[in-house]
Order: sequence, then C-alpha cells, then structure tokens
Amino acid sequence: MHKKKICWRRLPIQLFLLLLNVIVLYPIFWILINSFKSTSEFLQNSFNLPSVLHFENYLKAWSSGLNRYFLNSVFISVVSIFFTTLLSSLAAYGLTRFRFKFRGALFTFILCGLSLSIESSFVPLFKLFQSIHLYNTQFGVILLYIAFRIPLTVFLMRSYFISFPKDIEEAARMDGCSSFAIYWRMILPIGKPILASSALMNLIFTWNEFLTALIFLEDQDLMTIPVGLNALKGEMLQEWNIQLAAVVIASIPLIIMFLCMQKQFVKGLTAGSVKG
Amino acid sequence: MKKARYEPYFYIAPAFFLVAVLLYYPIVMNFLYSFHSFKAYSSDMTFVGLKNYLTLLTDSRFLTAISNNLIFLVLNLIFQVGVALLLAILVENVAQNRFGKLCRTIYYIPSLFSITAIAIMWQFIFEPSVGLVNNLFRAVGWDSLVSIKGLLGQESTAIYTVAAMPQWQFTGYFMMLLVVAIQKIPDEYYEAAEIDGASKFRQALMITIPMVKEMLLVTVVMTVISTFKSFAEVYQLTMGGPGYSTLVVGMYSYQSAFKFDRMGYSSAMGVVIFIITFAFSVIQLKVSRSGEEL
Repeated sequence: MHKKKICWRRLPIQLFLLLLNVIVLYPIFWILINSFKSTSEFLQNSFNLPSVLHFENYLKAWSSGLNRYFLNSVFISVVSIFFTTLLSSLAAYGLTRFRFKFRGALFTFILCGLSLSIESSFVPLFKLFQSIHLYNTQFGVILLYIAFRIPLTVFLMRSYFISFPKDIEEAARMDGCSSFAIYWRMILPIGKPILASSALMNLIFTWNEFLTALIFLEDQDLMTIPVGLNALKGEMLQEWNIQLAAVVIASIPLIIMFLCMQKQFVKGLTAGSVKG
Repeated sequence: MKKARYEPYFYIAPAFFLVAVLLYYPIVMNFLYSFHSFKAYSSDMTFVGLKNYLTLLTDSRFLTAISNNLIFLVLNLIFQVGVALLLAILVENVAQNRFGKLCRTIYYIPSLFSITAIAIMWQFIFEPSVGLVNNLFRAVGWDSLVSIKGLLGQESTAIYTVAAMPQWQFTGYFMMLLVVAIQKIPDEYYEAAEIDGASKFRQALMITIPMVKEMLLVTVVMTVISTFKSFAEVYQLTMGGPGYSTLVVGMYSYQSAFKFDRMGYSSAMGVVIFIITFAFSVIQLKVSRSGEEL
C-alpha cells in the first residue's frame, strides 16, 4: 500500500525525466535516420524512417575528406596524450617524492597555468609560431595541446602520487635503485588508475578541441575532425544527409568508449572538475 | 622523502619549460601587444598606448558582444547550475532506481559530441524549410510561429537559439558532477531525516544542497569561465550574424585578428577575457584546494 502511494506521487517527476530523455535522444535519433536517407527523401519528410538505408552517404562523407581528418585526429590525439602523460607524470614525481627548495613555487607556477587559455593568448602564439615555422604544422598543435593539458594533468597526478607510502621507495633505494628506476618500475605501475583517467580526459579534450586547430592548421590535409567537419559543411551546403553521416562518424568513437567504460569517465570527470 | 639538490629539477624541467614558453610567455606578450597596432603578416608594430582599450569602450560591436556574453552567462547559470542541480537531486534522491541511473547516463551523452557535430545538428534542426522546429510547428498547426529565415537567421531570436545549444549539450555534464558529489553524502543523514518524517523536498533543502555547496561553487565558476571563453558555438552557427547580433567577445577577438587584421585590438580583447577568466580561476583553485574534493 505504502509503496504504491509513493509511486503515484513520483509519477509527475518520472514523466518529467522521461520528457527530458526525449529532448536529448530525439534529435540524435532524427540525425541518425536522416543520415540514411537520399536527399529527395528527407526533403519530403524528415520524420519518417528511411525507406531504404543509403549507406553510400557514409561512404561519400568518409571519402570526401573525413578519412583524412579522422586519421589526423587519431595521430594528434595519440601523440599529444602520450607526451602529456609522460611529462606530467615526471613532473608530478619530481614534485611529490623529493624535498627541495622551490617545490611549492614550482607547483604553484604549473598549477596557475590552469587559468591561462588559448582564447586570451592566440595572437602572440600566432606570431611566435609564424616566426619559428610551427604555424600550419601538426607538430605545433601537438605542442600546444601538451602544454595546455600539463597543468591539470600534473595537478591530478600529484594529488594521487602524494598519497603513496614512502617506505616502498626507501627499500628500493637501499637496494641501489636510481630515482628514475623508482619512477619507472614503482610509481608508474602503482599510478596506473590516474594515468588512465587523465589520459581519457585529455582524449575527450583533444578529440573535440576547436579554436587551436582552427587557428594553427590552415591546410585541409592537416585538419582534425572538428575543423575538418566545419570545412566539409562549407563544401556540401545542400547535402544535409552527407553532413549528418559525417557527424555520426565523427561522434561514434567517444560515444562507444563512454558506453563501454562509464565508470572511468565519471571518475576522470570529477577528479578534474574542469571542462575542456 | 629524499633530500636532493638537482635531481627533482630534471623531472620537472620539461613540463616547466613547455608551460613557461607556451602558456606564460604568450599571456605576457598579449598584454604588451594590446598597447600596439600591427598586422598578421608584417613585423611592423606601432605603440598606441591605451587607444585599443578606449576604442573598445565605444565600439558598438564590442558592446553587443559583451551583452551577448551576459545573456549566455544568465542562461548558462540557470541551466548548467540550477537545472543541473535539480536533475541531480531528481535522478539520485527521488528516482533511486534503474530509471534514475539510465536518465543520468543519457543526459550526459550530449557532452561527448564535439561542438562542430552538435552545431551541424543544430543548424539542421533550425533550418527554415526542412528543419525539425519549423516542421513541428507546421505539424501542430502553429503556423504563426514558423519563421521564414529560421530562428537562427533572424536578429531577434538568433542569440537565444545559439545560447540554447550549450544548454542542451552541457546541462547533463554538470548534473553528473553534482551527482557524484551527492553520492558522497552518507546515507545515514537521509535515514535520520526519513525517521523524522522530513519530505524529499525538505531533505534536498536541508541535506543535499548544503552538502554539495562546494561542488556547486565549482560549477558556478566553471560556467562563468567557459561563458567568457565562448567561441566555437557562435563561429559555427552564425559567424556572429545576422549583422553582428550574435557576436561574443571571443568571436570578435578572433575576427579582429584574422578577418579585420587588427591584431593589437584583438589582443586587447584577449586581455579582457584573461582578466575575467583568471579572476574566477583563482576562486576555483582556492575552493578546490580547501575542500575535500581534491
């Protein structure tokens, strides 16, 4: 009896939550169905299910540039995440496992980098990269992605490394291990969870980053997905179905990763509490 | 912990170097550049003192941009803090079941798309002839609401249509942050309140909100910072148009640099964005370092 009463009282809330699900999911569903239609079919009616699945929309989107952008995004993400993780873990190791004069100052210096953004420094960076010939190179963009992700990544890793007990390394040091061997054989393996969740966060960032890539990659051959997709839009103004297919392809990797490893996503999200 | 003279510096040096050269140096240079007038592809630079800043104060485009940023700010705070909190409480404390969990997952999904992808979807939804919104209005017979230029194409509605996109995309993200904070509240608190006969509403007011106020402050600060860095949504949806009705500071700064070739003027706007975001970042760092959160 009691239980049933509560259910009834909660019905409006459940309906409200359900409505929000529709607001979130319907546009995505609508994109999906229209990405499979021929141009004339969706011009007639964009609400119906496609009568025939036009997979060639996807092939056309893929071959008209998206393949290139996709590979570029994978390359830039992998390289920049690798170096962000390496350099940040080295720095976090130095900051947590040694006592030295400027420890606090160096940490504050790196941490305050969190408040600096590309939006307020692109003019000098543009000038700098022009003069040292990094403008319009993927290497330049990778350097920027690494630099801009270091503060947050160091911050996360530091707060993880700092909690490791000291005695394990003392023992290793007695055995004559160098400090680098301790970093490589002990700190990195124990720190795996934080390495993984920060790498995941950095992946979401680099995969979707727009402004840096827009300013510093001029050649279409070099572009990442977010900028390339935007260029594609200009080339296929009336071909909505191809554009929508491109949207689906571009979005699939992160969505699948999220559905497979939700826990890690949520962990990284709260550890960071800093959006893109 | 080992006492060492040089060793730790070697570990920190590469990260330090990159941060110093690519984050700090440009910020300092941007400040200096803002007192100059110069072009993208020339090394000539003229010192103009405060002229760029004085021009900003009377530039109607800049003033429109600032007021649009404020519109963004109000909407972002309402949805990404207010509605996000409401949803977090509803999915965690009221619908404590599989349905709540499912909602949580689904609301979070839009934040995983790139803004470019969402922008294409948004343009398609608001496209005047085949778009979802106009079609919906026609289907239910509200023909007076059908706009011929589309909601993105007419000056009176464009800014709100642009500003609605981040709400659709990121409300669920902020809800998730708050959900995690709510999950850290010990169950005993609610059990005690339940015994005292407190309603769910009272429980939310007396337990949940006070217990997550730190995370709430973090979300407010994050929202303010991301609002003043807004760029991609405007660039992709309207390019600041029609006219300059949807310009935001980030967009105008970009246009000044790469469209109008007024690099110094763009730097001055960069300084404005920097001052606002820096001030709020300091608050964020203070909060998150004092709290148990990190």
